Amino acid sequence: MSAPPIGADGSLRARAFPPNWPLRIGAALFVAYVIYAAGIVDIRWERFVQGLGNGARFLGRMFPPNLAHDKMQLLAQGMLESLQIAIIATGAGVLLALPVGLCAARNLMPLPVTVLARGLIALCRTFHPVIVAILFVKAVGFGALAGILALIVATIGFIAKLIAEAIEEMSMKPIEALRAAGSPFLSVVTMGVVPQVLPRFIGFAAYQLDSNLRNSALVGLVGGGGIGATLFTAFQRFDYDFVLTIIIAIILAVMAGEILSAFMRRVYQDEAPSGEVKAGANGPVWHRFTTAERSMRLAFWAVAALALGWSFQTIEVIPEFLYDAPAQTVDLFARMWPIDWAYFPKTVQQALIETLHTATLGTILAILLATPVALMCARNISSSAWVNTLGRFILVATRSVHTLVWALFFVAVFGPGALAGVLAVAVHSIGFTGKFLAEAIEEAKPGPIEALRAAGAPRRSVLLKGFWPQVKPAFLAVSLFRWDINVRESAVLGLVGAGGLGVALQAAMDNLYWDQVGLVLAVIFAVVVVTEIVTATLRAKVI
Amino acid sequence: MSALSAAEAPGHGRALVIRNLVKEYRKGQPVLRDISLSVTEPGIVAIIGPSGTGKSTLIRCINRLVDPTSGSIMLGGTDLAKLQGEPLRAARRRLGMVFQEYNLVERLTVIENVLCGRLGYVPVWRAWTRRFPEADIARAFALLDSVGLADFATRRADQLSGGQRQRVGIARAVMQEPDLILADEPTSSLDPKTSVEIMELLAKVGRERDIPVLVNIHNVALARRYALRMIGMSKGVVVYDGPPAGLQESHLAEIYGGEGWME
Ligand SMILES: Nc1ncnc2c1ncn2[C@@H]1O[C@H](COP(=O)(O)OP(=O)(O)O)[C@@H](O)[C@H]1O
Ligand SMILES: [Mg+2]
Repeated sequence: MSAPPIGADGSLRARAFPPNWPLRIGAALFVAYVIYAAGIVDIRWERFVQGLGNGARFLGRMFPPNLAHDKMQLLAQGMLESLQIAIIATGAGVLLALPVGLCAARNLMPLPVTVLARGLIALCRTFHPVIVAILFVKAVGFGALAGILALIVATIGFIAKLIAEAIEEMSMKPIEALRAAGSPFLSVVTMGVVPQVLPRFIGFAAYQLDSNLRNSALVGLVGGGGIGATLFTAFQRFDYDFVLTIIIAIILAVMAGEILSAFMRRVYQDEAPSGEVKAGANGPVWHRFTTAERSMRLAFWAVAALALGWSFQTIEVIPEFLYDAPAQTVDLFARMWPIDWAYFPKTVQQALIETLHTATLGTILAILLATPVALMCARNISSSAWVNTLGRFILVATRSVHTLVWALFFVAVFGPGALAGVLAVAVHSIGFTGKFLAEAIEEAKPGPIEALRAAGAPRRSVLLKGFWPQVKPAFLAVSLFRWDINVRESAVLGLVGAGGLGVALQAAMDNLYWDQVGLVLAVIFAVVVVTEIVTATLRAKVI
Repeated sequence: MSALSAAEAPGHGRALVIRNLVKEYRKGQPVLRDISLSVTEPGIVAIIGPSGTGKSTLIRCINRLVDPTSGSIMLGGTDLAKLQGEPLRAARRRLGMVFQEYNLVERLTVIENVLCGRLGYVPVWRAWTRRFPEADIARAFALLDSVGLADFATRRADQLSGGQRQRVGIARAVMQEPDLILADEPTSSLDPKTSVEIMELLAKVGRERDIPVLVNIHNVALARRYALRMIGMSKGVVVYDGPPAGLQESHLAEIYGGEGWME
């Protein structure tokens, strides 16, 4: 038998595991970055310890939650208004998204139209609803109207994209037949396109309603009405026991919304309907929907119409403001132009760097915190139902409270600045990151795990040698994905004092320097676009 | 001499004695009904029987991937059926297992997969930092050489063919220095020629290391060719236990319930 050649440093180990220099250098750079960035956002031990004391006092004042009658009335009012905002924004947004999505479909529309429509969709998607809300607050004043308009923008961005994709995937045969028969364009759309896309519509709408419900609790933090406004006021008045009541109510509402949305998507499947064949007068006829499906769909439209009607009737919107809204919005944008570049080196550059550090450090911390929770949730690792449930509860609880609300909390505990932002981003991301990690762990192939257990490997070795190699790609993909989201979130945290671009935005707005506002918005737009390109490129490499 | 040689680690205390083994996945529906058998001789012992008869269950009860309902499984004086926690882990180190689907960790290199056979022995920090003892690494290389995969050591396992993966699987099992090797349908995912090579290799391991190799296999002809002893199972009981030569048509008819076994 030939003796195995010896590795570079004379050991067999170096031959079995040749050192991976790019990886080592990458790891060293990574550690160096974390230390450097932690210095920039002023993460220090003293601050942390001091904050813990504050936090304890803060939590002490939150308990027990305030359930007094007048508070409950305020709570009910706020929740109701948020619900109305979400329903109206979903209804109006979906209606508006239909033509935009149609215009963006490349198999139907000429190129210039699709480019324009896609640009509009990208614009709607790029800005965080909170930023859009604060702009509308400036344009149309405080209250539900600003919140509704902001969520309509978000809805258009999301739904129009899905509609465009659905149209591009549909069968072209009926369209060609209609065109060949010389039908005018509108008939082609109503007869050929809408029937094919409509079945998936309800699924989209259900998803968006869920998302708008969450965000309607948020837009109020910057003056857009609803429960967010109630929450912000309670924070400012140091009514911390009422804050807790509101947060619990929001968590319950978000969970209920999630269950409802999942139920609707199951009943009204996203997929094309199966249909059924029935006996007709002239032989069997194919029906798009079964009778049960048809009545479910009728019920859906009836409930949707009722909910919309109720919301429109009861929401408090001053009509003059509504009529005025287009003119005011145009005026606002006119005042932003030309944008003030001189503001960049003075303030915005610093804020931009802080935002990027906040997103990155927050994501890293989130992964550290989410990993043990994911291990608790994964049923192929923790077999105890108690541990699973506790893990899942942590995921839902952290995810249901939005980053901005966490930021309010951490600003109160650690004072204003990026440290609060990092913690807010990290804690809110636990839910998302942990959920995907747990799923990736549960999807790991059991065979190799079993083989290692059968060899007598201890648990921790099975984790590292059996699970980790299988989970690693998903782990990196989730981290990247979350980082992308967190860059957007970090850009708005400053609106509640947690550092970054939001601070610059708020300052410019308070001073009514609209050309500076324009600059900050342009920078946020650029950062979000660049981040998306970077993550897409990296993701292609990782997977 | 090959690295599989008996001189390196003679298999002491390897007598496997199973008494009155019963396994019920659901109460009142035994899959294994009162199995008793003992394996003391080195070489391949083939377990044949139609699918669903409990062959995998039997093998997996031995290394406790499945918990037996009752009965005892004595290996060198300890009852495997009663072990839990740390002692069970220690006992599993002496039982190598080869799987139908190879069960390699696909994203690890071939050599690291072989070294995974040492995970039961090395401290966790060594496994985490890949600081396996030099002697283990030397043995892993030698084993890879003896299964004909010396050039593949630093390739990722998912780059190998089925037959090559199974060789790595066998090397991993041997790396444990086992007193007994269990193989659950090791050839069922392989083509006929590769199946023969794998059986050849398992027979060689048993011979050179002087340990029993318990193989579940549905290919009766292949089993006959390499086994020194055959165990026929049907509906959770042993219906034949003896040399391949003694296995008659009538036995096969009883095991397989008709002529179905002649594919
Ligand atoms: N984990 C399990 N849970 C429940 N039933 C099982 C499980 N594993 C195997 N069985 C059942 O036990 C019987 C024997 O299975 P198995 O041992 O895999 O047979 P073989 O390996 O001979 O094909 C089958 O009826 C199978 O359905
Ligand atoms: Mg089997």
